[in-house]
Amino acid sequence: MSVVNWFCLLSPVLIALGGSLCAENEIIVTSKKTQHGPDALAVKVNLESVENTTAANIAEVLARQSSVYVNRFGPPGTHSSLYLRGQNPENAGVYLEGIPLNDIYGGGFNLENLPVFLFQELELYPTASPLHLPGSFAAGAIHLRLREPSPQKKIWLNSALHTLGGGLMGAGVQLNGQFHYAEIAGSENRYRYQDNAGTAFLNKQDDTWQTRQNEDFFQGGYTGYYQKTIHSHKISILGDVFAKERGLPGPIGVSSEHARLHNQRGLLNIIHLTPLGDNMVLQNQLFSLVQNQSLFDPQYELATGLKENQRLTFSGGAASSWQYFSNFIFWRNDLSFRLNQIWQNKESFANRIETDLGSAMDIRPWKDYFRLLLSAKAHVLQDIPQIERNNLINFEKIFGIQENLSAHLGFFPFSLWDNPNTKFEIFAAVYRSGRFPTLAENYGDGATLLPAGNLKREQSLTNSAGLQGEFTCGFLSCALVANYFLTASENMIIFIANSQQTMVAVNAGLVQLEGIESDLRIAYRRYVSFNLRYQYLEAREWGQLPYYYGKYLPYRPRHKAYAFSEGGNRFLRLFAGLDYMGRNFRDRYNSYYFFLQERIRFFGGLIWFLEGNNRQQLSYTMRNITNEVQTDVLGYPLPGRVHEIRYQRIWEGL
Amino acid sequence: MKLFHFIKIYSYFKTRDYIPPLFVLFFLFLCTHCADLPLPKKPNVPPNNLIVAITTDFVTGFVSAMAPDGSRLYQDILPVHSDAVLREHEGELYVINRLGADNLTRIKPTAGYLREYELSLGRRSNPHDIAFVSSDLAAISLYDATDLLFVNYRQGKIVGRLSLAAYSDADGLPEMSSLYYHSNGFLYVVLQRLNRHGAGIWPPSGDSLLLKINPFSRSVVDSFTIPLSNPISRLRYHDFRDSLIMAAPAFFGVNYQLDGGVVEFNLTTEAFSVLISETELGEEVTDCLLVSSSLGFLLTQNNSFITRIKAFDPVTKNILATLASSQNMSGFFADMLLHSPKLYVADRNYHRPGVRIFDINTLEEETGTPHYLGLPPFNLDMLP
Repeated sequence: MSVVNWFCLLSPVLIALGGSLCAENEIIVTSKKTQHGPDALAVKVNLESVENTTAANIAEVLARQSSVYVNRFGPPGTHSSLYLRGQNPENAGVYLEGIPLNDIYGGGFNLENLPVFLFQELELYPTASPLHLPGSFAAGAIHLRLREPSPQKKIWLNSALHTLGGGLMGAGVQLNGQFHYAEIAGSENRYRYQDNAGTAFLNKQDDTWQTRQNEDFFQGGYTGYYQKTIHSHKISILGDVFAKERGLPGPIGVSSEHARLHNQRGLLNIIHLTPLGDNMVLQNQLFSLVQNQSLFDPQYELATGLKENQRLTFSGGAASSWQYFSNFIFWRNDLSFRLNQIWQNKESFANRIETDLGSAMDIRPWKDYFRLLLSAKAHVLQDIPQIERNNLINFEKIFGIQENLSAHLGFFPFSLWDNPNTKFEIFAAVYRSGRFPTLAENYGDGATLLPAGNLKREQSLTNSAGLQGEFTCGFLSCALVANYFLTASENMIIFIANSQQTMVAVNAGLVQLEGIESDLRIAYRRYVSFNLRYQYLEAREWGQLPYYYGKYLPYRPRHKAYAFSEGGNRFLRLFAGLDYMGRNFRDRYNSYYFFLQERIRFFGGLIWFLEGNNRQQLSYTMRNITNEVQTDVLGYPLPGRVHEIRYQRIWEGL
Repeated sequence: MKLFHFIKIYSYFKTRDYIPPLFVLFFLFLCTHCADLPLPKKPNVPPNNLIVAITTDFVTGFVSAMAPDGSRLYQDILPVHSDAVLREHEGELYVINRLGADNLTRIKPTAGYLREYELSLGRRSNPHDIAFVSSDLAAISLYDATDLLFVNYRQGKIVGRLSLAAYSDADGLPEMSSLYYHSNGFLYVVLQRLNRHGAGIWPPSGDSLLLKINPFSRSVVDSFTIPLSNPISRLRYHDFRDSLIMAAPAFFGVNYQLDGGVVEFNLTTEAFSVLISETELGEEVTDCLLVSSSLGFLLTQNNSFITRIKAFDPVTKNILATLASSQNMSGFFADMLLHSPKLYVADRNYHRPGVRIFDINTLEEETGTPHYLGLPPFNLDMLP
């Protein structure tokens, strides 16, 4: 790393030290896992911090976390996929206020469709999806929490412009327990990339710089949140609609200029919460989610043979939760039911019926010295295919039960010293979780992917241990998390070419994942803060395929580090960060051609507070300062340096 | 509380005791784990007398090789595109990197498998086959374009084109595939003519054609309608019959129908005949190779995607033996190569992929297990 880069990273610290004389408040550094309740094991990411408000979207926030690797298929707004603790994207559940957004057809969730501003907090469950979130995922879950409406009247105005030829405009209002936010965003996403004309190994003479085509997107959405308390009944209603249109440029070698993808989402969630005495709460939930995806390929560039391919998914369900809490125990029992129906090109494709039944306890037997969290959940699934594509393949009903079990034992040694400024936990945990195959894996795609039949569930067993804590010493506060985990995942689904034309999903993978995650945060009052995250990951395949046996899983760098520093005073704050990724195979066979060399990406910028209390602020961010052009996924270029200006205005107490 | 006081005191002393061993453990961890992911190594390979193969999982592709008797295996000699085929000519290897790479690469085995050139053949052109016409001229078929390309393969330059757009079906492309240059001075080009605008897998669209081309004047001399559509296999020349053999399964795979067969084109009479039909076989056929007038080999596939290697008598059409079968959905036999007295078959069974060797006299497998070349083999050729 050059001197200039070090200077970029440390400049906020220098500025902050200079401006410390006129600073006011302290930065609050909180521990990530000291809650008491169903989300007690979540890593909580504050989306209102300076670090995360400068991110382009949720994908970028997640990419900065130590247990997550995000793979980008293009600039913000296009597509990215999520690897939680080295597991496949299909194994990570994505939830919005308790509603699973994953496409049950398959393919994981595109994190690019979620704006940062809408949310207050992100809960990250890096090993298993918890009891209170329906469904079952082998790698864990991400739970997005909306801004809580407060009685105070507020109006927000958000806008941003960046040099990829796009920006966003958003407006929100909060009044009397309601929160409404609407945002439109779009980008031409035109940037220069190096095109090797397919001659990747030797011929450099035909390499040219091109401008990326058909990578533009436009999206808009509205989210409304309403809370009302009638006597002892609290009712929350969430409505969310979202629409997006984007180009599908494809990899450089087989790029398409006309293929487009349209996504629409509509969500309604009603939660009723009522106390049953002093120590019990009953929560009921009704929800429905409609997602539509239409792919248009007017020039047949994607070679699917279809000009238009549409898929409509409806999910509707109900959930009920009974909770008991005291100083000694928190006990929760959940029951949920969900019906999913998929139509493909207006023909019914399959039904999936899911039921979750579980119980979790957070027991603190000796005041604050120990805690024991136990959770058990049964996820029952029934798939009913409604297709008969041809006479070759039997589409069978699939029924199964996935058990999710976890136990977490924590010890708080500093409680022995009765130090109120110190929270420190040493813990050991074990998790068992899994996921059912997606409908595409089970029943194929009607073209080249054949129905598999008799696919087993992907299952994971994780052992984990570590420590986490926070300390305050004078004006200095510090938070530390260090985890070790060892995961064995069996029956991992791999797609195999089984004939000249077709592919099929098979349970051929057996994966061992071993890693260390660490997160250190230090803050000196409000003047300066420094975050450092590091992840070590050893992800290897030990399954049935001899040619993958012993190989490293792709898109899992052994080393990943992230540093962020921020500082300043109440008028001006500077921030800078770096994102380091070690060597990374981009294919399962570990070819040296697909090797991604280690890389560092820098970003930095400033926030200028035009009025106090963050009422009016103007920010500037420069991403990828050193113009690093190595790409995450082979064939999908990423933009170089990008400049962005944001303006935010808040009117309060109207 | 006494218990906790005890723990407090115990942990205070014990923590100090454990600090040095913890540092040692941490140092050991750094030494053993902090190296970055290792780079794979390239093998040392002899320059001749090898069976060479393209191996691929359709994400990663390599040139690999083995000794003809299977005694030595050379995995991952050189990375190539994940969709590629390989042809040997005068001791050098020509790799046709198909859709996504769209180039011709020449590899020189005598120079340590040096990549001599990499010639781009046009974005999204999807080159499919190469036929060597003269000491420097070769023709390359483009599956996703209408032009037949002519290249100087010595220098790695495109020297001409011949438009075959007039032979396209409704989707605007003729889907030219396999090539064969005969010593009679003519180049034979297979046009599959598939319908890309149907759902899913492209079915045949009407008749498939065989073109007779003069490569020197770059003109089409004649066109012949193949009696069965969708010839997907390599054009294989058999000198004892002076004919070209091709497997034309018509609708196959997901569109399974017993409507194809093996077609023979007699170069002397310029007439087609059906060597064996799918109805006679009871299965679909994906490749055919003749050894003699009384022995041939077929690759077949049934409606459960089980593929088989079969020996048959071209005269009586009797199946002499089934040499091997793939398991249901576990892969397929991708290619055959005859290097008398052995038949080499690329077996893509994902549990035990590799090249299988059969004795054509006994119709028995030589070793019983495939010769493992790393990734599953897709295409075979002989490097003499």
